[in-house]
Amino acid sequence: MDENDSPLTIDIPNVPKHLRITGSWVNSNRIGIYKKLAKGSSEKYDPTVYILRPDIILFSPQLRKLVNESNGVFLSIQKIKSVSGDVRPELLKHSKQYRSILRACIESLQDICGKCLSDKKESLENFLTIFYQIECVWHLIEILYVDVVPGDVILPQLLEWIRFHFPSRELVAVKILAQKTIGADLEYPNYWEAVIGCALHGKLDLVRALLALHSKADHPAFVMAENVLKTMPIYNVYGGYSIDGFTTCWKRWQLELCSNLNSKAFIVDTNLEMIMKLIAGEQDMLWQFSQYTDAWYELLAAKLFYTSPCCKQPELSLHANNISKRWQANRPSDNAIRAVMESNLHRVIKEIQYMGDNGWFAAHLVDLLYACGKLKILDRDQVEVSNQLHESLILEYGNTLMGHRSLWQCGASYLIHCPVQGLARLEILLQSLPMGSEARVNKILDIARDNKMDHIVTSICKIQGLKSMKQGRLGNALAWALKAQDSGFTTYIADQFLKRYAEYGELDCRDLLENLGFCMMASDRLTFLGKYCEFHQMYSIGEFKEAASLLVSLLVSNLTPKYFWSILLSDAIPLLEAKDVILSSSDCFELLRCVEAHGDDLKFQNKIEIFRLAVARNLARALSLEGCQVEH
Amino acid sequence: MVSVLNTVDTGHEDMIHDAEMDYYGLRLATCSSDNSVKIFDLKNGSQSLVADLKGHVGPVWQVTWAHPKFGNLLASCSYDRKVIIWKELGEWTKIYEHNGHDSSVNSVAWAPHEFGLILACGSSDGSVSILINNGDTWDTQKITNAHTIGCNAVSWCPAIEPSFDSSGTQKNGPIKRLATGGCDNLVKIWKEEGDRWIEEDKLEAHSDWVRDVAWAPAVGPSKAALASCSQDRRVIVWTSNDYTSWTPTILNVFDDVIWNVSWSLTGGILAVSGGDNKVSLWRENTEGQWTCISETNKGQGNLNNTDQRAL
Amino acid sequence: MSENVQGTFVSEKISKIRWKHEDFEDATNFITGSWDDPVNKVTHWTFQMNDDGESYPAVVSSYAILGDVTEIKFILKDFFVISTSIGTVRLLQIHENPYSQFKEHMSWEFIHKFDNTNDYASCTGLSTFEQDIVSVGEDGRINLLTAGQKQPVRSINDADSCSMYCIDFLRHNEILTGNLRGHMKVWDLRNDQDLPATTFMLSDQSKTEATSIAHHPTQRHIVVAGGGDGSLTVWDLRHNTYPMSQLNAHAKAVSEILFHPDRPENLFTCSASGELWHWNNTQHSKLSLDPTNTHWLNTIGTNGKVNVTSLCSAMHKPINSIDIDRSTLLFGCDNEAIYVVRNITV
Repeated sequence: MDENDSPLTIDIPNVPKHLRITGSWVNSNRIGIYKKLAKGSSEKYDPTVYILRPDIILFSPQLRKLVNESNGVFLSIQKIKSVSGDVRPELLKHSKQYRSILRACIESLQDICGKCLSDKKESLENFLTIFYQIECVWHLIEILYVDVVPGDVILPQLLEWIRFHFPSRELVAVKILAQKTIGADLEYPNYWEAVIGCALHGKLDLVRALLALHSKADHPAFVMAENVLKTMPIYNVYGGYSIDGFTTCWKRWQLELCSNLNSKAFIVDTNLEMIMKLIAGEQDMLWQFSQYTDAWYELLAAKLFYTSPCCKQPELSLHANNISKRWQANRPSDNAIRAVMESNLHRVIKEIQYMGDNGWFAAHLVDLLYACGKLKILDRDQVEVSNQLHESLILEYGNTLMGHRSLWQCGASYLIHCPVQGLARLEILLQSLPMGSEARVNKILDIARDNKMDHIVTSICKIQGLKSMKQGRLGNALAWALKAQDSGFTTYIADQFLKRYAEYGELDCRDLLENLGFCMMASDRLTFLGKYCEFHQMYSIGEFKEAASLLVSLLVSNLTPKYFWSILLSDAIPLLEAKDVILSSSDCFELLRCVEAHGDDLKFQNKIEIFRLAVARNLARALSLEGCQVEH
Repeated sequence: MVSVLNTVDTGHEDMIHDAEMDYYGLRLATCSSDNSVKIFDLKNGSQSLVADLKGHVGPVWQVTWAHPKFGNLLASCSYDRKVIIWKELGEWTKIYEHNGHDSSVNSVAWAPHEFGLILACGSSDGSVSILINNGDTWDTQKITNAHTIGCNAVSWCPAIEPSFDSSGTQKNGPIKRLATGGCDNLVKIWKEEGDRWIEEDKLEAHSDWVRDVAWAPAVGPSKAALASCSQDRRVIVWTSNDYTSWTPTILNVFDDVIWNVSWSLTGGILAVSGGDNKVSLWRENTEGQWTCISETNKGQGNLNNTDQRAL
Repeated sequence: MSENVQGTFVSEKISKIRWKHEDFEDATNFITGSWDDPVNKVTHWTFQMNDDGESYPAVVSSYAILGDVTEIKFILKDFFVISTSIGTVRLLQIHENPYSQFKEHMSWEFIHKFDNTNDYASCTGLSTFEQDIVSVGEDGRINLLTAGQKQPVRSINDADSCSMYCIDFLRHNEILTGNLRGHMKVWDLRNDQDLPATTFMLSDQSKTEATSIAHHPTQRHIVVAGGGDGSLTVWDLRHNTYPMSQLNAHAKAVSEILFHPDRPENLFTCSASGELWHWNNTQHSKLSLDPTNTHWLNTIGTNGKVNVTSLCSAMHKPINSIDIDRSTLLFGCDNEAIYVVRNITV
């Protein structure tokens, strides 16, 4: 961070000097909470708590399109990273996609801006400024870092960049030309402005066409100007010239123009003469025309065009520095563009973080450069920190989105691509998402499962189970406990079912319990509950034999909770007393063993005698029946 | 830009000592010198009082929410020497009262949820007690004489897989660690061995009472980090790779006493509040330096658009 | 993305998308519902031409909805019913006079709720049969509504002890529901007892939730259900409740299943995994009228006669909803975009 940064200051209303405030983080990301304590007991207390949140412009509906659409490009780049071979052409395509998203965003902002009321207009205009600047910087970086410039001569691309971002004077020129009025200089007060603008952008064809419409177009000075412009050598890497050959040719042309200027050949019209001086590469004229430019780099492009047309990237820095210094350019985008031209990416990344776009630009740009292999950032000890920087910017951006009620899925997809801290952060943030409907919870779970965060899945399912219990929905709680695969929690809920049965004599949620299938094995207590439910099912449809054998197997299973023994034993009584002998002698011995071991429950005391009698009677009947069977 | 999301008029009849949001940022718990604890629902910028919990007979210093997988649980500690655990069972009810301290209980903190439902309490009697939930009962462990004259703050180390923790001797899962700060100007690190807590480290750098300690959340295989603040107006960030040697970095020397340090949910940003009426946010850049990213202050309006920077 | 797919970013996650079908011409209007924002919207769209002569979706009007929109179904040309995650069902009309807007004709508030805590419960789905509407919710309740009546005709309060996720009107007196545990229940509405006529399982192996149900447009006893694990299961309910075929299809939960209304040999499915598939059995289309009971859906998964094609490269966020009119398909996605897929061969 820079020394000249003044800290961001937030005004909390009504905090008198004598009060003390304390801040602590709210668990969801980046919300600070501030509370106040009175200092001395003599002071009056203030019972107010303030909760603060950074304003994120990306959350505004107009910009959410940008957030989501660029997320698609980001994810697509992550796929490219794993592909081998030359990926530069692909990445250039993605860089252009980012820019077209920016363009679409700017156009839709302009659209809305034109229609809306003034109070909203201000913030929309603010957005527009931010994204205009981003688009401009992105484009330049694309030219200098992502695209491959043939022959490394960058002027043609620079001019294209300038023309794209400052189209207004060319538009005026086209409008004048469309009228085809002779004497356009008399007709249009902004005629010369258009000519100069086009000259600064190197649009010589437009300059010539405009001059041809001048009222004195037939004057020898204008004819000569036309000739000079027509013959000006323009470097083209495919033009068949070597750079040296071109330079000789261009120098000769320039010399001739200078001698014409010295012989006052253009004196008939001041503006024409000034333009010719510019074209001849006169520095002073360049600065005189700076009033017709909106940014220092417009002037830079003109300077290169007329004085150094074969400029290569390394030489750009010096020119950029000279012009921007004299211009006293100081907006974040100015600084960023200067740093881009100086090939100082470290500085670029610093500067673009001041643009007020909540880190969108920095995260996506750095990721693109990283994928291009162009990100080499050294810290003050000359240690490479590119990986850390790349990750930290994406983490921050992902973190920001995770703080939004709806954009969390988008945020998560950034965190997932941060190899060092991403998943640990995602883990914490996923847990802090408010739950809502089960549809939402299932989507949160999907992301946890995708990233193999089993304990998060378990924890979220358990929280859902607890919520269901609070709502009195034991069945749904059990369903979530089973989803959680948390046997302890499953046992706890199965216990609730059994305890409710013990108290009210009714099994809840039979539709669920009768259809547990193999999930019944999730915990011993649930197995017991499921089997006990099956026992009731059998009993109710008159399958007493089946019911009895289930009951006996439950009795010997060692699964019976202590509080449930009296119920199981009581359930045996009607079966013992049934008309047909259902329980065998060995079953009876088991029953007697159980009642010895567990029949001391107070709730069973009034039944214990009946039970013993019933067992004895059944035993007698069973023995005689079994005896008969043996005899036969 | 930062704006006020909620303004909660708590209705407390005396000064507020603590205000904590639950895991989802949907509920706010506050406590006050009026002996009460209050819970508010915050929805769409509005607030409603859910519960006004009365049970303490002295000023309540701190409140803390348990992880939601244990249900809706809140612990509070007070000058009345008591720690109370509250649970929402239809209504908010007191489910446990801990009376194991001989003096004011200044700080309470729930252990990372991976360890189960465990609460640490630091008291002016110099001891730290640890309450462990076993279904319907609570077991107590105690570190007696943790800090002479008194313990002001407790904070749990995040649960970290033993693979990272090189000093890990226990094979079964992560080790429980606790940091405490006290009136002996010390920060101490405690570690559970068996059912005992042993002093693992004693961090000496502050020259006055330590007011707060806060363990940074563990994100990624970075080093362990702990922040402490003190009457000596300093905030120190302690880092260690092995829990045995700790490196102090003085984040800043402030103009006034620092009462409170608080880490953002995913670490990275430390909020520092002091007696100078300011809350400042600090983060470590990629070059390892701590810098202030924003400051909360009275009387200076006008924000710019900058937010946070990584460099 | 292939050339016949056109995306429009809309700044909200789309939970439902439905064509407003026309009788004798291609549909030109559709409705979307959104979810997960504090206030969501039902939006009426139409197609407009831009300067380049491309047709693109444009908003006609929007209607603010509290809670998430969980279902949209047309019951008449202009009339449609929506359900929300705060337990409400509304009957809305696309009203053209004097200018286009929505008109609310009926609102059944709070018909899904948790009785214990008196909290609203999400109405997870609804299905319609002429003027009859039946809704299910996380409260395990079935509500039977009719368009002209404010009070529910009937409520089955404890229809399920788990959250119900999907519902389908099979016949005027018969509905099929699916729940969180994959329990499928057929309810005979003539029966006064609040008990299902039959219960069967989505899958015996995995206890996954039933996320969507669709029936064959002309053979209503042929039913397809999608699971939370991405599986598809087909039943012929005339015979038994044992599935005719079952297959692992998508990588994640099936969000919606859609038979082409005019050409039912085409089935479309979309998923939380971001996939959108077209199942096509044109060469066997005559089979659907074959009395020998081998419906083409019977054979999916067992032989290669069914073509499955992806209609677009996988989205990186869940696709929540699809609808088709003739050869134009719409889908809505959690990446806050709606997509138009044109010229589908059916």
